Amino acid sequence: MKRDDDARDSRRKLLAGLAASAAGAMVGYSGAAVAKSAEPAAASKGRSRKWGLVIDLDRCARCGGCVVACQQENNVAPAGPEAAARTRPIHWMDFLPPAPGSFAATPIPCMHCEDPPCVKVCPVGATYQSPDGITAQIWERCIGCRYCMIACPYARRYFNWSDPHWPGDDPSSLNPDVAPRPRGVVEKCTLCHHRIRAASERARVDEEPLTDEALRRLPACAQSCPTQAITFGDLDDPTSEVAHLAASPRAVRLLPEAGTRPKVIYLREGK
Amino acid sequence: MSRLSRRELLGGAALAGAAALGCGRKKDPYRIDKPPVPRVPGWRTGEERWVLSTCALCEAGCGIKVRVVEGRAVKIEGNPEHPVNRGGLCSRGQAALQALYHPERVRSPLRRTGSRGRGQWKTISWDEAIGEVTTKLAKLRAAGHPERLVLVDGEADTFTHDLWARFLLAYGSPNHVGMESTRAAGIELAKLYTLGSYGPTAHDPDGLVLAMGTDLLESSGQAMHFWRAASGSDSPATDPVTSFGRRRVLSARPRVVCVSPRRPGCRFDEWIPIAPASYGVLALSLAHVLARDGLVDKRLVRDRIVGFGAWRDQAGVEQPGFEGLLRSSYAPEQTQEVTGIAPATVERLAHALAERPAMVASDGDATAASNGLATGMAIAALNALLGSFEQGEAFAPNWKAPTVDALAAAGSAAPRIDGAGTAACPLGVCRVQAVPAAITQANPYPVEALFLHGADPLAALPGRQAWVAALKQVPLVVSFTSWLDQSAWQADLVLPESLFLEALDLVRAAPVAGEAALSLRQPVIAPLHDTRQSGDVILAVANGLGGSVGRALPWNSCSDAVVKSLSADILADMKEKGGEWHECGDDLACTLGIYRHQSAPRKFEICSQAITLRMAGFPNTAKTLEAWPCKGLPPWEPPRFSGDPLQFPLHLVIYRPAPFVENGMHALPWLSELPLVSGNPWPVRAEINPADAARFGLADGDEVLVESSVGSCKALAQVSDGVRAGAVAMALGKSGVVDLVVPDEDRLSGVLAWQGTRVRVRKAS
Amino acid sequence: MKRAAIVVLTALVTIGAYAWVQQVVHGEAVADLRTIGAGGAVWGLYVVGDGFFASAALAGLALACVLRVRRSRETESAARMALPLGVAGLVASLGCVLADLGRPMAAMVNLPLFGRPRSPFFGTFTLVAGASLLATVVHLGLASRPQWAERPQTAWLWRSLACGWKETASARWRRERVDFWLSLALLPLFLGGIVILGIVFGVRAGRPGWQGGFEVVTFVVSGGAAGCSLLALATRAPTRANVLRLLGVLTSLTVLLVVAGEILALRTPYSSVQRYARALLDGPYRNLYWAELVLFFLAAIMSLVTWRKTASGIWSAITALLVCAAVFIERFLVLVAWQTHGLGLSWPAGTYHPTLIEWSVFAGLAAAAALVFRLLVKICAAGTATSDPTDPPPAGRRLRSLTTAACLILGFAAASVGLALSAGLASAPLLDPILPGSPLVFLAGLFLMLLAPVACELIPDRDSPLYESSGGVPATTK
Repeated sequence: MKRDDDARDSRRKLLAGLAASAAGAMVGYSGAAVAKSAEPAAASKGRSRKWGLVIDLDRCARCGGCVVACQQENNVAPAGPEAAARTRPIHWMDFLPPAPGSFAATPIPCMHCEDPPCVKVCPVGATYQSPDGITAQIWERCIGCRYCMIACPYARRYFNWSDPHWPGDDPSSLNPDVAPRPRGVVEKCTLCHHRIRAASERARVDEEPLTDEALRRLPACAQSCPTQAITFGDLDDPTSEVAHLAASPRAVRLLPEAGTRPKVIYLREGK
Repeated sequence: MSRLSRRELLGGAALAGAAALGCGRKKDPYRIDKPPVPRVPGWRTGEERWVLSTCALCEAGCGIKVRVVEGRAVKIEGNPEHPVNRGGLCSRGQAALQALYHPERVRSPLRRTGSRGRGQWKTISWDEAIGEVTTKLAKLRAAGHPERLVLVDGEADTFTHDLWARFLLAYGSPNHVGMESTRAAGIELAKLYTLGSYGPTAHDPDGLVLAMGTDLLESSGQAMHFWRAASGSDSPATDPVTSFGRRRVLSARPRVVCVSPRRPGCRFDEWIPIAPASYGVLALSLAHVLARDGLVDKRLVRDRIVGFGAWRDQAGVEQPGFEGLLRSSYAPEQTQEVTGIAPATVERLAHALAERPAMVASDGDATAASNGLATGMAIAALNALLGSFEQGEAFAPNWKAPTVDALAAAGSAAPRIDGAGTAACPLGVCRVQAVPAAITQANPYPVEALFLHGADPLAALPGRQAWVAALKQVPLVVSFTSWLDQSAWQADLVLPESLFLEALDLVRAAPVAGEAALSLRQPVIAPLHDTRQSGDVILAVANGLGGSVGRALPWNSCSDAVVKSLSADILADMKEKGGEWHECGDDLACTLGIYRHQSAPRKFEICSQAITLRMAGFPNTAKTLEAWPCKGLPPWEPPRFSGDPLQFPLHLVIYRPAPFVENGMHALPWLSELPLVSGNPWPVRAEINPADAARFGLADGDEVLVESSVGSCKALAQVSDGVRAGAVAMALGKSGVVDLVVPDEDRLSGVLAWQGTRVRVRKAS
Repeated sequence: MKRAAIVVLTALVTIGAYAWVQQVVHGEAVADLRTIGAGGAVWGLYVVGDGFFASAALAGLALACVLRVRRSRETESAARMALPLGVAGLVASLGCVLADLGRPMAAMVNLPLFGRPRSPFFGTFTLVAGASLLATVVHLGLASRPQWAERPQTAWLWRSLACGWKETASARWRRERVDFWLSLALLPLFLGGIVILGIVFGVRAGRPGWQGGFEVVTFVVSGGAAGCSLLALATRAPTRANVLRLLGVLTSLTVLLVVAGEILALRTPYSSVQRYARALLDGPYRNLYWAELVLFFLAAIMSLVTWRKTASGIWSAITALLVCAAVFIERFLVLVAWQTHGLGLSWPAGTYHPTLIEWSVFAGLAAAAALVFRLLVKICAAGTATSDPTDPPPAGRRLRSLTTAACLILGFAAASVGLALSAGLASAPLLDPILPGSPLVFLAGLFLMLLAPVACELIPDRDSPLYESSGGVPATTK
């Protein structure tokens, strides 16, 4: 009986493997199609969204909660001492070391630029800008040329130098909503677009609008932040908290001279 | 064909696919490559639950909300309803899943087969293991020496801790040795002697926070509270001045000034470097300025403080007060030599403290020196002058005192093995670092059984060799642990403890101003391995022992004990405030259990009568007492440092970084890789001032050898102006750092002097 | 001597293959490439190798095209060597790119399916690795046909390679015309390829201002110098003098450009560019930077002192090697130093020291290129057509003209349509190709256009012996 099960299981795995490899080429394409169509209900109402983050450096305690929250939510494997010694850990949400003359590290996710240089240089369209402004990446299509990493002025992209490895090879704690990335592809912050999609689907099914309150703490980093320093929302919605905060006189964007127009906005430390 | 129609086409397909999700997965455009995960029986595909519980990675007791998908815990988030963290969660709580699914967890009870420390184990059943423990304890009692059982307990704020305490009381051992002397005992004892209650202090940061030591802002149980307070998160959302629950005026949030030899890694507004272990004299100096300039609220002094001015003790004798002491000494100009802080800075700080609601906050760092209690008392006194004190009472189970037999009464009356409350440590309540010497010398009596619960003294405390030698002399060492840590490695029996995500417990959360929350911890998933929570094991052992011990702990299981130990009103309060609470059979199913209560204010004794009374119990110390300028206030003395200043020219500053977790969990990969330092986060780092680096010919990134009189440790030099000149800062939790520390202590209170070691640094050859 | 060289080269190729297998098995973790920003460079030796080999090959090919168009007898040997050199260089650069890719197999599928012309990488893989390599092979093959037809040993092989070459006046005339027009047509392809590579190396979002554009020019000019130096290595005395003269000009120009670029970088208002320039001048790259300058300077002097006389073989070989080393260092510095020291935010400075595996793969590729070159020189003789230009035009043939024209027109149409579709001209910018696979159409169009000269040369005249004596062996030479 057990044998039978095993045999069936292995056969199913084999079939799945075959199907996967056969579909392999097209998966990337359908992935893009999904991502394009995954705009929330707002689009169907004729208003497009412009997702953005506001990070209030005056509130940020530099505790690192957002970093681990992101890793757990997005199935980022720890690098381990050897890879870390060669500066290869992956942190979609990282801390930018303090600039000379300052000592405050800055939490730094992907800037989700309005004019993303990484998208322009991708030779296969593995990275693209979704209509709601998320700079996303299709893992399946990436060929690992790392041109986007060269192009990104913020160094917010990561390459999988080796296969991801979870402690004890136990994938139990992996989030079922996010595909793990294989070796040889570039990965990056997705603004937790699986959460945005789930939230907008829920709103659509409940036939309720997707309110700003429901969105503010949506990405894992914003959700986990003990001081609510990270706020997420629609920058195009004048009533949203992010739009409100982005209009603050403290608001700054990183490397404005790069001409990328980031949608991650920092609020400087106040007095 | 226009772009729009094409997009609509795709969108339509997506929606159709979403609709088809239930009936077939054939054309699901939302398909992602699911990670290959093992199946858990009893869960349907796609089934998802959120379970509320309480975090255990530090003593804060934050409320958590765990996402369980198909029987696997996949994400931990903060519980927005919980008073401690209000929805946020720090890196440690987030990383707890790596502890749950850690490959090196002990999967079943183990009995040692080879010699000690060889690591040869035999898997045994729980019945066998419990039988073995019960037999040994019964024998010990039969021989009339119940006091020879010692428990080293790393937990202090859980129901399990209370169960252990009750068990030891009924069994007849006074030796419930906590780990507080290695943490914040200096501050907690000061609270005990000035306000009469022992435990963490509730802080209400507002206006100005003077943080002494960095750990309060980085890794302590209060850190979460301070982060939230300092960011203004606590301002009510309904405040019309604020938008979206934020304070518009930035200056309305508390200002955090940190005094420490090392710049904190977390948020602060101002950093004032100070010489190691001289916080107490700074506090006195600030108090001096307050008293000198008449900045102390007279009504506050009159109504709520004892011992500021001249006062009469119980015998009616007039005693000089704190004020007199301050007037005669501790002027900023005098203390500058000790603290290294310019008098002008002290004056400015004192005036800033007086200007607005202010508090002095500190945790273990400030008092971890040979003058620990005096420092704690000085800080408490300064807080009293600022009006920042609060008694606070923690939850206790509604148990009646157990009826103990004569044997237990005699055993409990025996002196403690760690010497706390004896002449060796007259004012302390525990002194875990003294246990190995006591065991080795069989003084005051030999130890027959040593239990380790939530504690890994070999890895966490200095003096590893002494511990190894001591454990060799104990016939039965039982470790209740989730990992084969260094101490478990030396044990006879390893009883695998369920991780907090698999266990049921009550947690006294870190007090938030005016509130003490009791938070329920409940199993998020069924135990992954053949593990039990130690509470269940104690109950089984007590049951096996029978007699008065069995009667004192009459419950079947922890969940049974929890329900029966809560008074009806607390239970009702929890049910009301915590949402659903229903008892289903043996298990509790509850979304949240929070109980809060506020305590009445009590007078603050700067000159503590409790200290006087306690000290009077020891004839030899009476002389010391006479020499104190203020009766009941231990005088502040310069710290004692171990190591010859010529040979070891630098002070070792030990700190607990933000991702520090007790009991080895700081080794969780995500915490170890937290990018809070630039470069590789794994190796040990020795932070050193540029001036010292130049003096010893070191460059940033050099491999160096840090040596103290008792040990050495390889590290990576990190040259940074974030460390005061003359000090080397090293993070606790990295291997080898703890071995540098000389296990000196405060002789009054038994506080371990983490900051009392001198070292030298040289390039590793 | 020659045999020893071949043994050494084969050994290098074997070691390189082994190293490459290691990389395939363990992932690119075996290289010293790291995460950019966290203290490393994501592009290293492989991309440097790609830039070096491809630019040298393309420059050499472009030069040869000019020489062929000029039909100068003096430079004939240079033109003859350029094609094998070009093939070898392009093969090596292709190998470098494949070694660098994280998922080369996915690249084989996804590039033709989803290639995006807005990415400079599109140009490098279609124009450099695809079209240039194929065009050069075609060019080489067509030009070698007369010689292959004359080979006595293993006649069947050479005869089939020669595709029925018959030494007639018409064939010779066509050979000459095809050579001329092909050279003329390929010149922009090669120059375009080298400029695109220059853009990949020079222009980046993180490097604002004029600096990037300046580096493109430096890249192209120094690429020309590298191509020249390779030609100088491979050609014989009379031509070599001309090549060396050109090398002298290009090298001197490069020195000026490098120095000017550094001064420009130091003067920019951007701190990231300044940090990069400082890293070169007196930072961790100072040894390499000064070595590069000295090498360029030495090479410029060495090639200029022989302006009026013929240089000895050793002299020109040393000059050529100096230039090659200098250009290689230039590529390395532009690429790597920028990644480790030229970032705009306060990321820590990084390091990059290629591992043994990387060096082995690189050396293996270089050795493979040398072997390919050696093989091609041995079997091909792609001299310029030297027939008398006053030969009367032979009678044309309708089938041939039609096929040639059809190839050109259809190829051009397909390439245009493919480009338009893959550029997504009709859709929102930066999205996918309208039709998956349209980059393949673009490539196919380019290849179809390349078939035009093949058709023109291979379709024989009506009076060809192939048609006269069916089944008989075609008559060989007169």
